[in-house]
Amino acid sequence: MAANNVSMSKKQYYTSDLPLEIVEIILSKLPIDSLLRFKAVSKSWNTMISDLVFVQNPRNIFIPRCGNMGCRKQVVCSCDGVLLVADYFKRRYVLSNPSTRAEIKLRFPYKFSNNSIFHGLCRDPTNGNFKVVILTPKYYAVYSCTNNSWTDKKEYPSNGRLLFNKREVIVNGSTYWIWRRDNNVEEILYIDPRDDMFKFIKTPKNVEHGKRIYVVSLKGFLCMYCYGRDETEVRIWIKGKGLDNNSWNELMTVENVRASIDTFRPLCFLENKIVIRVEVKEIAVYDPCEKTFEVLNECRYFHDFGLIPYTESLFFPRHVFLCRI
Amino acid sequence: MAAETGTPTTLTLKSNDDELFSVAESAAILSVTIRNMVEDGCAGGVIPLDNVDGKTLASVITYMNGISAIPADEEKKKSYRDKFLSDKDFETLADMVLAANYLNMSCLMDAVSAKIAQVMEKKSVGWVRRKFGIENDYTPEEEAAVKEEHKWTFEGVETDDDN
Repeated sequence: MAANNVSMSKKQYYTSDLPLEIVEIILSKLPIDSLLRFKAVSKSWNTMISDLVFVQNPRNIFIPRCGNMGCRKQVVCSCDGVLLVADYFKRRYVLSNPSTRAEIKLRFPYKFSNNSIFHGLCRDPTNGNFKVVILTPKYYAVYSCTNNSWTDKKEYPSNGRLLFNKREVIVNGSTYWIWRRDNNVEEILYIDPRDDMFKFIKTPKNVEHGKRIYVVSLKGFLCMYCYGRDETEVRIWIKGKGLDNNSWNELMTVENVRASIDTFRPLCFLENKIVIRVEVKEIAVYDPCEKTFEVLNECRYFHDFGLIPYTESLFFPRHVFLCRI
Repeated sequence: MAAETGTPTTLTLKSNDDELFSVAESAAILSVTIRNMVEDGCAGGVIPLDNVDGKTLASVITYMNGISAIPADEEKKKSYRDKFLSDKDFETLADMVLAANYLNMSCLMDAVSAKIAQVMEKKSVGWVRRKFGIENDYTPEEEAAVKEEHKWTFEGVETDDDN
């Protein structure tokens, strides 16, 4: 295969023999470090790699919220391969993609009086860029990477409150929380990265009003769960893919549950089985055919610092990317 | 399909350099391109494959025969594919990925492109330019800047005369 220098217009990708579609297929199978190195091959490869929005077989891992209890810097959440790391005492944050080792620093501009501060991350589907949401008990504010600026302090919807003790879920490029109305009915709400507003999602039709509900992300979908007919049964529903698809399908019912639903948390699938945190320090694998739990002994030392699901990606906030070129 | 049960049908494939190959229809229809020709009744005589040379076609047929002899066991098929591709050099793999694309054989396409990625993984920028026949259109300053941006990705790269 001789290297015949085919000259084409600058914007085209050119290779001697392999057409662009095939080169893209090959590149999509490379690990992220090789891809970033091959940006130096040519301008057209640089463009092609920057445009690759997916990495095949990305590693899906869990990142502990914090290495040691009491440390100041904590990974607080992750969205599409980008982590938000907080340094609470200084109101400083770092958005970082550990796969590409790129990062951006930001500072929360408003004062807050106590430690009850919570976070969300979003990816705006209109431009693919990231947004950071900081929530205090009284207001919230959104940082946009595109504008490199914060919104004003924004008010929550009236009638109810965010349940911060039920962990947020980041999926579909948005962050979902549980909202409890003044009449104690719980609902799911999310922040819409297109207009920075909170929006509600209807829960599945056959869920009794007033039931305690929980959210989690499984297989890249938003899932909701609650007790079934009694407290030995947990029913799990799965929402349609994407921000605007709010249809629910029943995923499975976990039976023979002994743990409280407050510590019960599905983590991920393992073939047809499901890995569930059953107690604060106990992780088990549930077999839906046998309806049994197998406790994973090697996980006994886990503290309840929370495990943040993380998927490798090449995404990064755009204004940093432009600055560096 | 033309084959009557019990009687194995043989197809004749012709490469673009006019070599003829006999292959069992059951193995050849791993290629969706060939299967469509068979279903359309165009397989009576010789099937011309204008985008594949004899050397590559021989290799693809070896693969077709090998993989179709393995019963439905994904593990065994995978290890066959790994072994089949293990001794192929970059040029052969590039010809095979083109052939797999033209013949519409998704399993071979996946395996070969993954193998090429594996071969490239630790290679230098210069190696990639030579093998893919790419002209470096950066100025020296631009190239240095791009390399500097992702400096850490150059650790552990195989040594090359042009890195």
